[in-house]
Amino acid sequence: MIAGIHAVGIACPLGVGADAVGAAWAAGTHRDSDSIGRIKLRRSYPRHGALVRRLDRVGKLVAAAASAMEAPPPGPVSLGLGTDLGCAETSYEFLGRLGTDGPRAVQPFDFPNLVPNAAAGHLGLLRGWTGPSLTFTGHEGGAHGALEWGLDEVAAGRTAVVGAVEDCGEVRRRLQARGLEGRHPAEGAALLVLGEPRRGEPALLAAWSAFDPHRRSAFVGGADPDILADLLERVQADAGVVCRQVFPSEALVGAFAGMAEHDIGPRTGRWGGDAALRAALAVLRLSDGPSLIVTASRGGGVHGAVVGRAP
Amino acid sequence: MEQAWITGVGVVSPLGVGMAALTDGLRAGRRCFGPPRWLDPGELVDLAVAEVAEIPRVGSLPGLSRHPRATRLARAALVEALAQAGLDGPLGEAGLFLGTSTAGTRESEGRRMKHDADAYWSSVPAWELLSSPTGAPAATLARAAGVGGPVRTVSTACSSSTQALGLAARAVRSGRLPVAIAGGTDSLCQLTLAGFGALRLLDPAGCRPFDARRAGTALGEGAAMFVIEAASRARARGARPLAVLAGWGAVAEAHHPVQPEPDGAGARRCIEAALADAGLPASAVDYVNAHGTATPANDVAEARALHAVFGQPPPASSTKSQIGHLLGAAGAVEAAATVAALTGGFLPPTAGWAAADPEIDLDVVPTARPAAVGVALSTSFAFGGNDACLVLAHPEAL
Repeated sequence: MIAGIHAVGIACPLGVGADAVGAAWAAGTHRDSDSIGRIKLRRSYPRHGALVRRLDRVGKLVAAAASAMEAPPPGPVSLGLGTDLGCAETSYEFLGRLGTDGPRAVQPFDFPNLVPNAAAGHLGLLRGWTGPSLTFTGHEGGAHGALEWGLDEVAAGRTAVVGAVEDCGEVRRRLQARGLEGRHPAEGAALLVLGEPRRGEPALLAAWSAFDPHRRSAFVGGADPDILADLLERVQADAGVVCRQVFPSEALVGAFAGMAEHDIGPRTGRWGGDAALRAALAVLRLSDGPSLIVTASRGGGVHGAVVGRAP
Repeated sequence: MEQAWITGVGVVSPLGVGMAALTDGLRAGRRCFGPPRWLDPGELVDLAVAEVAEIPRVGSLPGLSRHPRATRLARAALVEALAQAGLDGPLGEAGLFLGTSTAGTRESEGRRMKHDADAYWSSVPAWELLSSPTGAPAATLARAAGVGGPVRTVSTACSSSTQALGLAARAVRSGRLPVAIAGGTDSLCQLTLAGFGALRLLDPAGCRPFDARRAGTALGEGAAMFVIEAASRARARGARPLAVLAGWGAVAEAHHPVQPEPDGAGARRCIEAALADAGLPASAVDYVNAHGTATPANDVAEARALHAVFGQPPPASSTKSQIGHLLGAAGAVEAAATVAALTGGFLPPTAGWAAADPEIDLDVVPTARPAAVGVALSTSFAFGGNDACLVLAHPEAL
């Protein structure tokens, strides 16, 4: 079961759009901020001005990533989005206002941004996508949930847009100050359009996850070596390739002796669903061969995916 | 393709703890609405909610020093589900799929509402921060059950746990997992009460689905967990199915952030997708456990969708009339109510229904009644048009 990757959309501190980010990555550029700056969406979504104005930062980020790619047309497109904290920044601000001003200060249009799947719902509205829409929120594993589900959707004959999004505001900065956030917090969004594989073209070749019930936090301590080894063996066997390069999550940097490791942290910054960004970057580096996308998540999950060329 | 057998169900709802309490409460048509006991409603006057009176203590949970109410609700349901399935010990080959929308918000919101940012961050304990994200309950449950496969949290508002059950069934039917634990959990919190209140979607008289007097929904809390096994695996260990999770459909309406398509077109596509996934015609369905939120627009749209699919729809009732809207847990608890109907041979009621709405031409089952239910549909139509449906069947009906 494999899926062709027909397009990639990226919004991260290195830039917006696969071409801009790919060029910056190839040039060895490092980000100079945790933000991509001001996001302008009105030209991309001219029929949805009111909705665009009310999007929170997460919604704007994923809309920016979608606007920067060659997306599938409206219709029964499946949408799977991963996120770690989702609408936490918006909820944090909302609860502060609720405490200060009371329930009567809450506006009707506040609530649609206060569910974790708000970004996916709004993107579906902007694009007219009417297939299934799922939001996966399993810490750093949410993006992998979306990737795995995307393989299923393509197997069922559908086109799927999968990826992840996270903003970076006061909550994450305060969490970092408490030692509960990674070293390189930044905002970002990345999307991949999955469909029928085409020979020699980019493809998602495999994706699977395992869970370590004995580990309280794989984010802090890495992953159990046996579980990790089993997972890597499985996804590479499923993909039918042996990978020589890897895009690891922060907790796994340095864990892959003998492989070319791409640590995105200092360059693009990191966020809960950055596995989707790593998968997108792997598409941009296909000339170096297939890549492993490997993630150890805070909850105890260990996740792997393989990006390469369709046989 | 494997059949996805449901070999265990556990539930904690405002009707009580356990499937027996749920079944008895459904048969009796007991409505559980009252003022919230855990907070001073302040400006939230005349509020009706459906609370879980007490969460049973079922042993300690691993990991953090404290766990949110949503996690403890799910843990109690999980213990019952595993016991009913006869599964004891670590489940290394299993996956876990949980739907939730607010997770630990109830525990964290009060401190945030009381304090400014600096005071909040200087006083909030680590367990509260670590247990708040929606991904936290699933990880805790997976540790408790010794799960070794994929652990997924789905958060799609009111359809979250329907989607989680659908994902689990798909993984089992395709052969990727021999067994999966799946369900949903949510606890009442001020964030959702304020949000629904701002949209003027709360009825102080409680939830009155399909009734001409309905004036909005009422929120509740609870959890339901299922053990879903490949039929071949369950047979090999001598387990019997309570029901078969035969089909899952999911669509997005892409219509409006909070309003359904008025003609029910998205809901219709979703139901048809679930029936197609099950390989069953609409005529096979004996009962619909409807989403039935009691908001004016939703109930009419759902009725139109049912007419579009079925012509003359089978009996359709809303469990929210008794326990309120459980948000991320609604789909799982209502699927448990549907399993109760399949195994108990009765139609759960739309309790308290008294006034027919001329726009809703449905047999809404005002009181529970005996019926042989072979195939049932459970619907969840969430905010933003995130629709999901399940087809559940009696094992002898397929």
